[in-house]
Amino acid sequence: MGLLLEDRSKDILNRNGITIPDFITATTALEACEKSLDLAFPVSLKVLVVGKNGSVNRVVRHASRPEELQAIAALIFSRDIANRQIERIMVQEKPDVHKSLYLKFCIDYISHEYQIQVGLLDGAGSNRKTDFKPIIERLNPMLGLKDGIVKRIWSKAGLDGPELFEVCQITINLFSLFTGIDANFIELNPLVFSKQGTLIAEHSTISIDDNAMFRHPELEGLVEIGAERLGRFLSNLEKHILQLDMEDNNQGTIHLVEIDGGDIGFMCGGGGNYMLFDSLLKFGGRPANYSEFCGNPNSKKISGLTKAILSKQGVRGLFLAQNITSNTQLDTVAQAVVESMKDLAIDLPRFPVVVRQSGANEEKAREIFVKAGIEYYGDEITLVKAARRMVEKMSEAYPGYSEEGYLNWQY
Amino acid sequence: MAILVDHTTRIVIQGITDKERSMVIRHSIHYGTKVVAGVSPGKGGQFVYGVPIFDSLRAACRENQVNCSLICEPPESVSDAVLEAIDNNIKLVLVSTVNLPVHDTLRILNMAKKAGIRLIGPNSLGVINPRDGVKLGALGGDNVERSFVPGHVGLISMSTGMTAETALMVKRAGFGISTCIGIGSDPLIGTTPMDLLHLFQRDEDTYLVVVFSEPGVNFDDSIADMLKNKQFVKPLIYYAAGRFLERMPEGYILGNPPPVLGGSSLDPSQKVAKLRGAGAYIADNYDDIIMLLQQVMVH
Repeated sequence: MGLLLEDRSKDILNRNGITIPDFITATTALEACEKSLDLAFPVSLKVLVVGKNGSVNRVVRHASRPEELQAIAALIFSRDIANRQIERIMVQEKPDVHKSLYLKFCIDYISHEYQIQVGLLDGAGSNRKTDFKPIIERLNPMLGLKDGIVKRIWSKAGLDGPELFEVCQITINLFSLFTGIDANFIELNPLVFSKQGTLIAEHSTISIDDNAMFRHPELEGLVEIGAERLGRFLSNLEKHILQLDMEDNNQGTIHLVEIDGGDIGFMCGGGGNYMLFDSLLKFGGRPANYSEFCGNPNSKKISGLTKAILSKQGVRGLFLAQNITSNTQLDTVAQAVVESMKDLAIDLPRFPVVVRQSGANEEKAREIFVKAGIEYYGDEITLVKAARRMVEKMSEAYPGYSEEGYLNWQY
Repeated sequence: MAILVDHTTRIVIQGITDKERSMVIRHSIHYGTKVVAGVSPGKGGQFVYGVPIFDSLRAACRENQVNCSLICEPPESVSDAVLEAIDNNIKLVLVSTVNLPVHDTLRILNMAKKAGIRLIGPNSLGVINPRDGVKLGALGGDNVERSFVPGHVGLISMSTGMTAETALMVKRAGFGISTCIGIGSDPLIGTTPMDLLHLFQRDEDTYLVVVFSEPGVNFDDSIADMLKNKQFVKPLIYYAAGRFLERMPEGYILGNPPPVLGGSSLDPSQKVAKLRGAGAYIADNYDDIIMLLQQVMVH
């Protein structure tokens, strides 16, 4: 789930025949002021960040004069959002709005179809009222979007005459873009008619299916991959793991989410991750990250993930656990993990590690781990018991390690 | 009797030749499954562990009686592979491919529905019927009997990886599996738990069903409705992983599946409350599955 920040989504809309307001982006207040001299005031200022629930922008303020813009921009750059300093803002012309519309294309996961959502918003506003309910129609992916449906749904929303025709054209363009770039959704909120009669995408959000990035080289570097899932930009370490994962989409999957605090490196594979995370917390453990690896990841991916997990300051142990695997080569995992720990000069007898793995080439994996001095279990214990053993081992290594249970764990 | 696969199942594997996919053939044949052909364009005439390889599915079906396909193609080739399976009238298709683009998934699900084909997956690890020694997919690996022994417990796993692990819990409890299905952990899948519960309800060999659920999927409302409406009346044991997510910031998703439109909240506690109210046996801890099985099966 990758998001396009609004300057990039607007560029893409523009290239696909959808009118956008003139805008600039800036990394400082001074730059914002200088570049905005080419814009017609009033303007809207937006912070280009990934926000809560994966939103891509926050309209902070409107400015009707350059002096006002300068003051607002300076204030914005002096603040931070979600502990991240603001790096870029967008300043765009604010249309003189005659009519505001809502238009969205998205996936309907229940009916296995596309959805189109449309509606008229309150006359001059740029954000919809909280009681706004769009008109929704489902579209068969095999049939696509027919002109007749577009006309019918916008008529139902209250459009007529030349406005109806123009909006229908934009809608068809947008649908073509939605399927063409493998978007999870595209939302124009709002799409406005200016008093001069121009139809403009005033605010836009585009989410891209990152599984489809292999066929969109034109989007390389533009998409904030994974940002929608986390509600923030990926950290450098998370980006590194993502790049590593995407090097070969067919060689298993690795995934890392950084978490503040914690001291147990969490390296769990297959589908038991949520259950294992629950279990560690329940027994008083403090995971230092969340991660997944599944399928049959190659040595490079496993090594990269291991080192990323262990590189975090404060990590004092490693929990490597997987459900019984059907196709993961456990000896490959074992070799990569042990070599990575050697590369990092981890003092293996002292550094608490518990491994619970069972599946293909298990005996070779056991041999590798045991030879390295690592406590290893196969399916003779359950995953829950393995999590408990990890916390016990932390307590053995670090007397006083809390066992008060997960109620004390804070994200 | 079993659901989906049995001793009459004859499998073709589309996308067969690399090391990992060849391993699936080897494990399946060793288990006793009838893998009758493989398809890999350009490799026609070769054999992999005694299984003939064909350049096209049409050629494979012409020379063998195929009624089931396992698709292991890379993501960019899956749509074409499903279309080929439809063109050759194969009624059961399992897609094991991971990371399939969502628009492609929508297309193949709609193609399959229109053609009347049962499609399992994508991102499914497989289906197993231990009594008949049939496994479709990588499920069970090279040691199927470690987790899967014949019995009367149906197993539906919404987690690819936890399928064999949960089957082992059934075995630890002293019971075995009638049919086990990894439905795929993507938010868009071809065969839902509700589809399978209907099949299990009619299966005389299944006395009880265990369901492993994870955040990111949202079938719980529908399952609860089935229980309330007596569409499924056999005992149902349910475990929902991921309760720690309730303490994370709103909208924060750690794992791979994205949110699903509609239905109830993704909150595991709400899921279990709903199902408990509908009469399901809820395992609050994963290891409780063993105790619940022993309690319920005794009755």
